[in-house]
Amino acid sequence: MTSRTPPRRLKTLVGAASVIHVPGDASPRSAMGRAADLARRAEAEKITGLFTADVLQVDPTGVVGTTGSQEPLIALAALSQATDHIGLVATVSTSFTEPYNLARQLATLDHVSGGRVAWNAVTSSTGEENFGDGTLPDPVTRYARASEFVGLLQALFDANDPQAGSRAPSGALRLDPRRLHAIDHHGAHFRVQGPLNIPVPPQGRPVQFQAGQSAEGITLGARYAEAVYTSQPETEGAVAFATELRRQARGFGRVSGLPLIMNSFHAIIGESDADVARRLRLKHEAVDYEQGRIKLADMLGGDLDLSGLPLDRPLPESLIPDLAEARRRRGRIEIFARYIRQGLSLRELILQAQETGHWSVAGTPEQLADKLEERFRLNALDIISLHGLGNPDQEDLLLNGLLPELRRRDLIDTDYVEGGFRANLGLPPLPARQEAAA
Amino acid sequence: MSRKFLRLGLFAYPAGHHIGAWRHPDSNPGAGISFDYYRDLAQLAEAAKFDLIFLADGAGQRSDNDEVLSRTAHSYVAQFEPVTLLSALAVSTRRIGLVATISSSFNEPYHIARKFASIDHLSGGRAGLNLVTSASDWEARNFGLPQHLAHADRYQRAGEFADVLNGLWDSWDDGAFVHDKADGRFFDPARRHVLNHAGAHFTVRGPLNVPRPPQGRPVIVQAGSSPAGRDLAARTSEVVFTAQQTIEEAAGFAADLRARAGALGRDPDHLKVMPGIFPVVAPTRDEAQAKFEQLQGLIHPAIGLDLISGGWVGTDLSHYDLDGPLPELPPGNGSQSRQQLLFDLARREGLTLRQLYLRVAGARGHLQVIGTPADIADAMQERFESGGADGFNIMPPLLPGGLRDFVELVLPELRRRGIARTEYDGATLRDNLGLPQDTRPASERTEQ
Repeated sequence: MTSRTPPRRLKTLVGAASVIHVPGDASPRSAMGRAADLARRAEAEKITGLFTADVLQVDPTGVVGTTGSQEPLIALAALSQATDHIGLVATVSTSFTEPYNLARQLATLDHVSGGRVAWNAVTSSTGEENFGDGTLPDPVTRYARASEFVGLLQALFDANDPQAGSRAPSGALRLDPRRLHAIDHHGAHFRVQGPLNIPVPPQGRPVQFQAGQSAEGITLGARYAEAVYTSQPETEGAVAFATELRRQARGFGRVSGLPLIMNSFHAIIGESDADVARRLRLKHEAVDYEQGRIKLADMLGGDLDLSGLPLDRPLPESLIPDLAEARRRRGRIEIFARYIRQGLSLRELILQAQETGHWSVAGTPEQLADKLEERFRLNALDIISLHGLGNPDQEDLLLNGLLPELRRRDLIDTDYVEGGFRANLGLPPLPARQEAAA
Repeated sequence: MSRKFLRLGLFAYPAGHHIGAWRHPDSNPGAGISFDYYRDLAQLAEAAKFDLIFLADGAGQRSDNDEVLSRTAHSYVAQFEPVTLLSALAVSTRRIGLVATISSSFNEPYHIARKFASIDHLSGGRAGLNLVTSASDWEARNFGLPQHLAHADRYQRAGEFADVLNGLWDSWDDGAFVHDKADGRFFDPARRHVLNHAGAHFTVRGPLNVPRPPQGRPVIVQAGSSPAGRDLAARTSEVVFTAQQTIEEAAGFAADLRARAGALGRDPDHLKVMPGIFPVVAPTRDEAQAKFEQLQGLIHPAIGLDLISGGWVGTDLSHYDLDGPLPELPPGNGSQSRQQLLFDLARREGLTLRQLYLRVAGARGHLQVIGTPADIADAMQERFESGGADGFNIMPPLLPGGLRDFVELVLPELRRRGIARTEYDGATLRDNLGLPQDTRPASERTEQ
């Protein structure tokens, strides 16, 4: 018997469409139909996974658009029934959620989807007004809670013996609750007795994503994440981030190459250099610079007023918030503080803020593939979130331009493999469990 | 109109409602974590024009008695989390209502409002939730509590929870999200209502970040029958699931609930009472009895005793004589209405502990009818016409076989009598249950 390790390839994600109906829809179910259709088309392209972002409030400034207008686990549970292979990445906050509830929801979705679930753990920097006592814990406390939360969830999943539920030849499941084990967790933030009352899901536990790139965020990712979602607008920063993340990961005894690194690719695809320039010009012309001031202020932590400042002068460095004092958006503050120190004008900063700190590139399919390949070969990129599916202006160039170019270079997968989302991401299997004494 | 047809719910449960069902040769013991099982049940109930499918829940295993846990399929050690399951079922169905159980004790209302608003959207207005307070310390220990909140505190929290849900679902008027690209207006602030709730248990500013659900408010169901539970149901629920043994008890319970709702200024007809019924049906009574006896023979004594100990949390009944009279027991911190119900039943019929567990093993305190299609239909019609039931939560002893029996044998009889629908009334769960479309107080509505 021979077994070959498949070549390392760039994995792809697209955003799941909303299941919430919008003005003009023929029926309340129209949106569900659209979301299912987009998921199926992504699957036809062998996209590795569907991603959902989330926030827990209505953003008064409108900066985040419709993000959060559907609950991710509910949307993905519905989409799991419209698809067969594609991964399902749910963003869920550790700050406003009970770990036991989330463990049950994730386990259920992993069962119902046949092993396709990932949890993107975030600590949330907004939404506190809708939970608990209405206050946002400081970042250090949020990350301490997040770290305890993620570790506790993994313990809940790992405590249950896979042999607790065994399939009879008839397909019937036989359950032995004596093989479901309590964890008796007593930590600073949580007390959870367990056991998880759902048998071990197909993937053992969901694939662990993590987003948040402050110092505490990097440490959390290095310790627990199988994939880290990070905003890296520049290659140099992307490489530095990867180096630091994996240095810390080695310190935690993680396997080489982990965590995988995910970026969002805010690309404009054009047919030619002239077409790219035209699209870029149109995009810049469409920017609302007054709304943009609010968006930029949000990238700088949200607590400053940029109205009235001249658009074509650099922003005074005195406006850069003190990172040690900031309570939210610390990763973004670092990115935009760098831009301010580089002397970008307010107009240029607002253009950057449109991309919310993500990697933003315009080019032909070949040029964009070069960019992706460069980061991929530098080991600073493993998973790319692609935009354009469902966007009439970009979809054709994505499906018939960029994706074929990536396939031609053998950079992305041309089919799914068995073994669930973890296997399709090219992640190593989970470490063997310590079985309870029989 | 609303009295014309029975409301029918399918209470979906792993392998069936009889405690021994999972050992029956026709059942799948792994049903609790089989999506295909639930999907097939939902589709079968939908084909029969049931109003809703209902999923129970337990937030954790409820004991460490492995002798008991390992002998039952009903102990919440191998069942899906129902809300996530409900969303997947929404895609596999078109018309049937989708109701899952939520504990108000272990959840944040903002999350639950979002999840059910999302399901209501993607299902086209078919979502409902059964709000329970949870009764066991075992569940509480998964949520940072060494022991559960006291009964009164739980119900106070549940009432506030329901208020916050309704307030959050009312965050937006229909059409508030104008998506006016030309004007750059995403939503119309004049059609937004910020909740600003600050209560004893929750601080929730709102608004909800999901547009108004197709039903306005998803339907809230309640299942507690204690006085606190009745008050809560009368104030916050539109459907009540309940366990009632006799026609008189059923009629009395329903009348009491309607009186409580009326006293609060609600239209009593907007509260639908749906007792559970456990039908063991066959073409003849002898065959039905034989079906039942086969299931009774599958009950392990450890399971039988555990079944009735639930009302007496903390009291180990195995120390008492199985074949002696029911002992006097102190009230526990568990489900008080259930404890009273079992006590009354045993006293009324002079049952021993063993007889009591055999007596309730099937229906767990719900109405149990063993007989022909006409016998089952008679029992349902009597309660329907005497005011004790607007409909029933059907609890087939064996699943899916018992549901097929009900659909093939009892439903035609109910339809012949003109008390079961042959087509859905409308697109939403509210339409089918005959509940009002806009449940907001008139003062809170913004006309367009």
